[in-house]
Amino acid sequence: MAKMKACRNCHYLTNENQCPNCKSTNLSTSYTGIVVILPGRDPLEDPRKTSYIASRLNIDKPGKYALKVR
Amino acid sequence: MPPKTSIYAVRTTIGQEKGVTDLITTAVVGETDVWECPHCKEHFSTKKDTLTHMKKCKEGKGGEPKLVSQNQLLGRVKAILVPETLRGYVFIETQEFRDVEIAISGVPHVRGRVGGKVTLKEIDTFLVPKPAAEGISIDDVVEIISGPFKGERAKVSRVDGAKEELILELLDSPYTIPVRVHADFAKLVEKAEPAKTEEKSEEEGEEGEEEDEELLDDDSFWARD
Repeated sequence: MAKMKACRNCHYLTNENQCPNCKSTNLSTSYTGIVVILPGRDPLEDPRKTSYIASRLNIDKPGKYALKVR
Repeated sequence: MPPKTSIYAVRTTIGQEKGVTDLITTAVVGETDVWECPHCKEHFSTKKDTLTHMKKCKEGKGGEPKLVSQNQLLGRVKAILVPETLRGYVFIETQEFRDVEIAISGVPHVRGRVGGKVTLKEIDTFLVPKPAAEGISIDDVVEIISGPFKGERAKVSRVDGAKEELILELLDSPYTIPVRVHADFAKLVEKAEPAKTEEKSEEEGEEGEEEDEELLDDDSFWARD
């Protein structure tokens, strides 16, 4: 599998050429660390309310993110 | 309201952290609840779908949809953290320790759990990584760990803190060519000799040792022509 790209704005990991989260095209293949925010029972629920990691990193949508993007 | 979750560490095979993360994600997200129509025994993933089917079901009317099995992890496992600085470990944020057991059962490359919770303070050190150029100053000797100059030793001639870049001079190069390297790709090997004001605080023995190392360096592998 091709290496995923991380969005420099929101750190979202994707295989596309555009970030599906913030629609930015500023992507990078050089990143370290991964955080997966898992969805709750209600898909529209804000993960920041239930997860410490999501609230600390200010992630409002479940998905796969990079910890640090260069 | 602060989230009522705890973070637990799971030990994995080194290099397989991402694979383990993907498999745990699939275990949590992949499985849906199974609801059954009491009349025709057909299965559905939500209660709502079963009710809409039951209105049109030819086998019979009325009754309640039956819950056959429920995904135990969805909504209970909140997040998975893979800090690449700590190899061989994956952190899982869940409501209870039991959820970790269920999530990792049957997952290959998991080598065990770590008893006890990980404190939030410890997790913060991974969530907010310290700047890579921190602790490296001018005249330090570093080793380049990635890129075309991998394995080479170099002396720091300038630190660009904003860009997290180092401007280095290769030690075994006959000419001084400045090389721009990201601070993540440089490993500190030897600190520069402390300035005279700082020397007083350092132990004298340590100072001597450092000088010895410098001498050794001159006729070491790195200094040869």
